[in-house]
Amino acid sequence: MSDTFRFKLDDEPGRLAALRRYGILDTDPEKDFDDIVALVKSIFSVPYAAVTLIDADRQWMKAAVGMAPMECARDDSFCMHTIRGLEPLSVESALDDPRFIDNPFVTSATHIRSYLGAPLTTPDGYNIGALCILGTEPRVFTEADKAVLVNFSKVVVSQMELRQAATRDALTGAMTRRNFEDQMADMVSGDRSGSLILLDVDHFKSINDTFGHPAGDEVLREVVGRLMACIRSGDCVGRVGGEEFALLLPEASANKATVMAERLRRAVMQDPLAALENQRITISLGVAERRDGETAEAWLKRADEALYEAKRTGRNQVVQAA
Amino acid sequence: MEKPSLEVVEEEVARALSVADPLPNDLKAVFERHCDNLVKLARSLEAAGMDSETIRSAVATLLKTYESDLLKVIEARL
Repeated sequence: MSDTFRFKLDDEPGRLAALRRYGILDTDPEKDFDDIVALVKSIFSVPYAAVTLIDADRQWMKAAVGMAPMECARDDSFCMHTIRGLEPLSVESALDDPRFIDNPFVTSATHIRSYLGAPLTTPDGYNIGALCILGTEPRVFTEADKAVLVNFSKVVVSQMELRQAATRDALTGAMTRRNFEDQMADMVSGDRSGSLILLDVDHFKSINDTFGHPAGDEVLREVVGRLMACIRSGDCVGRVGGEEFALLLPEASANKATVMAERLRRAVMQDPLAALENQRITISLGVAERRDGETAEAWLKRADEALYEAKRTGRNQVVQAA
Repeated sequence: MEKPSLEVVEEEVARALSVADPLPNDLKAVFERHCDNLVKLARSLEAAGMDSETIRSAVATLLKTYESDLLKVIEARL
């Protein structure tokens, strides 16, 4: 696998979507991350250490030691430079580095003079933030120092993965209903545009009755796998009922979402399933674009009505809400 | 004679992994990756000249916190 494939340094929308999928921004402090920065501070003997996350226009700290966790403008962040690369960023003397000489953390009473940051790289290749140490004196960082910080940054990411696992359906890997509803609520509270697709596996009860529940479970896993292969970065897939799934498509119009829904329908029915003795399955889908000012409940209800219409009028089809 | 720190860390991680069998596959994979990261961290700390006690203590702290979080995730799914 090439680095070009694994690391997506130029895909800012995908990077932000990856960050949001962790659902960690603006959450309360947590002991696991606090423990990591405390260890890092102690091991490197520095005054400050932090886990930072780089949002669209700000840096937000999940954990910090030596200072209160805070946020600052993205342009003022050292870690913003770290996430642009694959390797740790080392600043041995901020006063000699034109990128940081006028930085407010250098010129203010914080008096930062040295920095070492390792990117927090997600398993799908996005740098969503950094684990960093900051010092008030110039300092030369060795290759061994960098290796230690990189390995700590991997521990931070695996801790974040565990945190995220709590929000995933164990059978299919889709978001849990609760997490999916949180994503919808975020969109609604930010008054962002987008579309919702609700879909249901046709004749699922009959699949379970005929082939058994293990085969039914395999069908659900396969459906989610095929959905995941079709969606854009930034889209979300959630399991919102037994055999019912939902997709959230930020910024997609009703027509774009309907095209996507049709692609999903074809993808699901394209290949026969071994678990069903090589029979194909079909899905029915309802699509609704969010209206201005519409609540999540009302939006979901319109998508559900469109799905009901798709089922009622023959299944294996897409219906767009009025 | 005292065991080398890396050996102790690897034993500790192996002990943790030995109870991972009943975990759902997705959590097992995440836990195994975390343990792998802890072993790599221990090796890099040793290469950086850290003393045995610091390495053992760091890994024990991280492992203990993680196991506690893992239990919370399992409980949340029940």
